[in-house]
Order: sequence, then C-alpha cells, then structure tokens
Amino acid sequence: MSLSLFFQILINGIMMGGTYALVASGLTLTLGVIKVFNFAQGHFLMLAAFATYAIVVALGLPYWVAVIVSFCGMALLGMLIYFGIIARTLRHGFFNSMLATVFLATIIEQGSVVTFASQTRTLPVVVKGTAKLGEVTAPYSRLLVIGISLVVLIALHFFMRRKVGKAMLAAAENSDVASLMGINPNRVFWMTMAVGCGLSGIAGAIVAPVYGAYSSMGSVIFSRALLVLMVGGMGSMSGALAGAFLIGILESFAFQFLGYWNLLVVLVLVGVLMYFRPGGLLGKPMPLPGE
Amino acid sequence: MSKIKPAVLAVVALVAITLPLYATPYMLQIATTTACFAMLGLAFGLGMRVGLPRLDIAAWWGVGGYATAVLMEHGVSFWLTIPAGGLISVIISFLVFSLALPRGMVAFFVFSMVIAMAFSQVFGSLSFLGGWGGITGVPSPTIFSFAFDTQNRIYYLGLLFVVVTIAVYLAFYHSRIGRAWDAITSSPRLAGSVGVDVVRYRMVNILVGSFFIAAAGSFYVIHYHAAIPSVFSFTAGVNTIAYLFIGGFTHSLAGPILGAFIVTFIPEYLQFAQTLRPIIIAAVVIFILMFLPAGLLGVWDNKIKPRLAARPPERRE
Amino acid sequence: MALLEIENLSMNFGKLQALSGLDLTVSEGEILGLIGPNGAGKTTFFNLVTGTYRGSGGRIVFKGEDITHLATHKIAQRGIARSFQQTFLFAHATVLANVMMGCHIASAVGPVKELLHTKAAREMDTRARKTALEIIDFMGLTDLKDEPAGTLPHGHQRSLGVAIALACRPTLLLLDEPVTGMNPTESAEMVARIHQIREKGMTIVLVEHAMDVVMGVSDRIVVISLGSKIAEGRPEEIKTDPQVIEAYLGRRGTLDVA
Repeated sequence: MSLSLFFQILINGIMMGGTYALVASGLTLTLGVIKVFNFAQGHFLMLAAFATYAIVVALGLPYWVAVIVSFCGMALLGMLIYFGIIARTLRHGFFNSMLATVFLATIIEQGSVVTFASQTRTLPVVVKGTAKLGEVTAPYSRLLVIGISLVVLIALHFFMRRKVGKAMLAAAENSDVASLMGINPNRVFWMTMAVGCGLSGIAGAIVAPVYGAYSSMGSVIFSRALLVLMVGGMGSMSGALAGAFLIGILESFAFQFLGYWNLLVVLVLVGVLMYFRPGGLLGKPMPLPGE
Repeated sequence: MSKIKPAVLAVVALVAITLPLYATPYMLQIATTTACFAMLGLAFGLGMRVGLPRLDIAAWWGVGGYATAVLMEHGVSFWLTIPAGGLISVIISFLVFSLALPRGMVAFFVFSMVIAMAFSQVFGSLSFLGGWGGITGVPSPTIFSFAFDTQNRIYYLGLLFVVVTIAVYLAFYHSRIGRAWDAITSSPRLAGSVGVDVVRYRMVNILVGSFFIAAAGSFYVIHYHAAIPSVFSFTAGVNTIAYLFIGGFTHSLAGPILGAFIVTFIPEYLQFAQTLRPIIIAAVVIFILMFLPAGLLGVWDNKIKPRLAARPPERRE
Repeated sequence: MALLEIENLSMNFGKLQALSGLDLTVSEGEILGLIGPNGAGKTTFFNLVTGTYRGSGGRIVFKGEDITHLATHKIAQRGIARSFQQTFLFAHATVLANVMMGCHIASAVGPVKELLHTKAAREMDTRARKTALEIIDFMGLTDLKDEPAGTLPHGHQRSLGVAIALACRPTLLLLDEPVTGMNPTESAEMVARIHQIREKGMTIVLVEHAMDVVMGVSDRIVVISLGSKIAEGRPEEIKTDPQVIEAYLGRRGTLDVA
C-alpha cells in the first residue's frame, strides 16, 4: 500500500473518530450524569446534518452559521426534551427513560423518512482544495472536520473543569450528595442534556459536507457510538475519546480491505476485547442504579 | 377478585378459538400477526422476569425466520427448521451473553443492542439470504399430506404456537427456577446470598427466550411467506418492546398479549398512512412511559381493581 | 475446632485501606462478637467472607477449604449465611415467600423434574414450606407471614433478614447489626433467639454497636480498629482493656455503653 493511500485511510479514520468522539462524549455525559442512555443521540446528529443542509443550500448562509445553529438548536432541543419527557420518566426508573429515548429516536427517524424520503442530501464542499505534504494528500474539507472536532473536544475538556462541569461530575458520582452541596440536580441535568445533544449537533454539522444528510445516519452513527462505549468503558469520558478514534481508524482500514463487512470485523474485535478487558480500555464496568 | 381472572381467560380463549367463524380474512390475517408479536412480547416479558430488557429480540427473530426460509427452500420440513433456528439462536446467545452477563446490566444492554444491530446488517448483506430483498415465496408447512395453506389453518397454528409458549413459560414461572428469577429481579444481592447463581439463572432465562423468539420468527416467515431484512431490523425489534410496555410488564403473560393486540389490531382499523403509524405508536408509548409507567394493566391494578374490591360484596342467594 | 480461619486479610478501595492484615479464628459452636468504632472494617469483613468483595490479600479458610476467591452463591451453598446491615429483602414477595427463598439451596430436585412439577418437586416444595413456617414461627413473624416484606415495620424487617439467613441452614451465621433500630423488648427477644440458634448447632459471628447486647451474648469478642485486630478475649477482659477504650473513646475510662 502506498504511503499516500495509507494516510488517506488514516485521515478518514481520524475524521470519523472525531465525529464519533463528539457523539460518544455526549452519550457518556448523559449516561453518567443523568443516568439516561440517550438512544436518540445519533438522531440529533442527523437532524443537525439536515439543518446544515437547509442552512447552507436552501438559505445560502455561510457554513459557520450552520455549525453554530446546529449546536444551539440541538442543545435547545435537548433541553426541551429533558423538561418535556425525561424529567417525568426519571422517577420511573432507568429503563423507562431509556425506552422513552428509544421511541423518541423512532419518531425522529420516521419523521425524517416521511419528510425527506430516502434520498441523501448532499452539500457542497466547505473548503475546496487539498493539502499536500510530500506524497501525502488530504482534502481540506476532511481536515476541517478533524480540526473542528478537536477544538470542540478540547473546549469540552476545559468546560468540565469549570464550575458547571464540576457540578456535572459531582452529580454523576452521587446526585443526592451533590444536592446536599448546594448543586441543583435539575439544573445540572438539563444542562447536561443540552451539552450532550449540542455535541451531537456539531458532529452532524461537520459530517454533513462530507457524507451528506440522510435519514438513517442517526442509527448508523449510534451503533458506532455503542461500540465506542463498549471499548472505552461505560461512563468514562477519556475512554470514549480513545475508543472513538480507535474505532474510527479501525473501521476505515477495515473498509478499505473488506468493504461493508468492516462492521462485522470491528464487532468481532470488540467482542474479543470485551472478553479480556470487560471494563473497556480505560473504564470500569459501570453498575446501573440499583445494583 | 379471583372470579375475574378465569372469566376473562375463558372469554378470551372462546373468542380466539371461534374467531375464524365470524372474522373477515383480513381480520384473521391481522390476528395471526398479533399472535406473532405476542410471542415476541412474551419473550421480552420473560427477560424482564430476571430484570433483563431484551433489546436483542430482532436478532433471534431473524435467525429463526431466515433459518426456516432458507431450509424450506431446500426442501426441509418446516417442523425441523424450528429447532434448527432455535439451536443456532441458543448457541450464539450463549457465546455472546457469557461475555456480557457477568459484566453487569449496562454491559448486557449494550451487547444486546449491538448484536441486534449486527444481525440487521448481516441479514441484508448476505446474498445467500437474498440480500436486502430477502427471500420470498416461502411455502406453507405440511404435516404428511395436510397443508397449512389457508388463512384459517395458519391462524390456528399461530394460536398453537402462542399456547405452547405460554404453557412453557408458566411451567418455568411456577417452578423453583421461576422463584429464583423473581428473587434475582427483586434483589440480586440477596439472591446471591441465599445461594442463587445469578449469572447462571439469567443465562437459562436468556437461552429459553432466544429459542422461543426464533420459533416466533419461524412462524412469522410462513405466515407472510417471506423473510425480509427490514422486518427483522433492530428498530422493528425494539418496537415489539412497545407492546409489552403498553400492556404493562408487571404481568408477564397478559401484558404482552394485550399490548400486541392493541398495537396490531387497532391501528389497522384506524387506517392511518403506513408511514405515520410508527410515529403514532412511538408517541403513545412515550405517553405511557411518562404517565402510566405500569402500562394499561398497571392502571387496572392500581386504579380499577381496588375500586372494585371496595364495593360491598354481592349477596349470595 | 476452627470453623473459620482468617489469615492476614486485607482490602483496599483505591487508596483507602479498609482492612490490613486481619487475623481471626472462629471456633465451632461459639458466639463471636465483632466490635470496633465506625469505619473499622467490620461490614467489609463480612462482605469479604461472603464473597461480595474481592480482597487484596490474605486467606479465608472455612471448614478447611480455601474460599477466598469463591463466588457468593457458592459460599452460601457451603454453609455460610448472613443478615445485612441495610435491609435487603424481596420487597414485593410475602414474608413466607422470602423465607422459602432461603430454603432454595436445600430444595433442589433437578430442572426437568422442576419444570414438569413432578411429585418429587411438589414434595420438596411442601418440605421447604414447612421449614419456612417453622423458622417464621421461631422468629415471631407468624402473624405477618402473608404480608409483603416491604410493608413490615423496621424491627420485623430485620428479623425477617435473619429468618432468611436461617432458612439456608448455615453452619456459620453472620449477623450484621441484628438489633440496630430495635426497641429494648425486640432487642431482648433477638438476644434470646441468638442463644437458641447456637443451641441448634450453628456458629455465630455478630457485629453490633449496642455494647450491652454484644457483651451479654458473646462468648468471645474481637475488637477491630482501623482495619486490624487490636484486642480479643472474653467480654470482661475487653471491657477494661485500655487499648480498646482508647480506640473508642480516646481517653481512659471503662466501657459500659457504646
């Protein structure tokens, strides 16, 4: 394999890794703090991808507007869903809330199918041109995706160190104790939901120019996010990060050699990893509330 | 109160058995589909008996369905395809869940989701399974020269499947194994303390469920005479969970049946556009999750039954 | 004869050393009281013996067999039962059903026979029920046998916890704070029962904060502080042991009431 091809595959892998990292971080955050397994996590990405399409193609506005709108829009949606649905289902248990998100995902996906049919919406390339370093080439559009995802991930890291982020971590550890420390769990929860969905939103905005927007992308990316969580360890943010890039790169190389069988290969590898390190690379097996 | 249950049971049984006499063929077809989904819902209920939400239903459903479709294409008798599909499901379940069960609930969730998604993908990708178009033209099952080729006969066959499923589950629920299961759901910690091997008992539950889910798949395929990947997709599987929740999962047997009935029958009569149906069902489930967490039977248990009990007893003549 | 031997048992949760180098022997037929200030490691010790926790060092030997790394349910099957500090019950099941669960271990017939509800299975069931009723009677819960366990008042819930442990027919019974939260009458009844349990041939280790109870019922006492044993002996000796007093009160005096 030529060096150029190798790097192409690698870049693709890192690009998808960055996307998965955003989605998986959001999923982990929601799972850890609110103890809700947000099944619709991938679907927020899908909505954002369509929104990006609408903003850039239909409205003709610049790309960066779409990115910001995606983040804010999905964050807002997350907050609404928290108050509208989750706040109520939380008192009925973990599984209840998770199921609610499952069916929310169904509504979003079906709604998308009904509205947009099965056609993929493609977007124009955001940044034309290709970077060149010796023999290695990488399209700027893909580097942009990597760039934005890294920026957001770093921002997230610092956010978690600020007061709000720390409150989230405290609530994740033990929400009763946290409320005794003066942290309002309800406030932390909706903010977590907003951040989690916002992250998916950005992921959708950055992935849209490369892969377009189509109705099933939510489930597809969610299934990858699940694998990331398995590999990185449930409830571990750094694990999600490591796992995401690992899965992204693995998937990319597997696709090169095996086409659409790559998912199966990744699955088998993850299964093997689970046998030897059930807690994932960095995390520990996370007990559900009540265990 | 114990007067109500046998009475309801008798009525339901009567209606079910005599249905072909007065139902339209269309209605019968829906009833048969209901039987199918009821089997899936029952299997989910079985899993909830040990506190395991089975998001992997679609996988085994598909395995059973495809096993039957493929084997019958090669002339194998339907009745042999049932244990074939069942066995494959049980073996793979065992392999996958031996990794997951000792690692805890979240691991179980994720593994079951992943396996269902994986199978969805596999069903569509393999050409010997007919690719995304699936396998059509699956013949009707036969016993010697008797063919189950009319709607009536298939309906009764479906009813038989449901009855056998319920009988087997009941045998488990009322046995020491069932009591161990209840203990595990109630307090896994205490169950372990009294000598219950939690992992092993859960595995037994899973394997039994997988077998019967595959059997349901086998039946589905001869009912519709086709095995199509979209039917066995992960999302479709997850929707069957809706049935149990609408019905109420505290009743492992009545809940799924009621739920399957409501979800399958009623929308047909409301005749909404096919594409809107999943959205409406999903919305209803979310409503129930929010406001009626114990499902419709939960409303019965908590609201209606106590009121009936509070009424003065009828006079005995 | 040593029933349970603990050698150099240690347990740490990350940086927190819950137990360090604990040595302990429990003789057959005795009532051993385990006391120590809060956080000394007593419940951790129980959790290690029953296999709920995995220790970070040391050995646990029961009836001559090394059970250090055995799973909880296997340890239960070998004859060690316990009651819990927090109340773990099968909340939605009746008191009778709860205790019958305890008999679960003893009443195995074989899965096929179980499912077919054969005569043998049903007989086992009847026997289990009979045993359960005897134990319920013994613990004074007969009137409540058909009530859901979750609706019982606190004191009765604790008695039920002990009943469930008894139903396992253990050789060694570990009681974690059996009288905490009970009024003096209930407490006295429990103490009487503990004596009766020992007379039936079981060995008992109990953890309790109520000093008068522990001192009154135990043959021997072991004092744990900060994860290791600091004293052991008869109750009278322990009461006046200066190290023990210091561990509890931080100054000289005598131990009358905890």
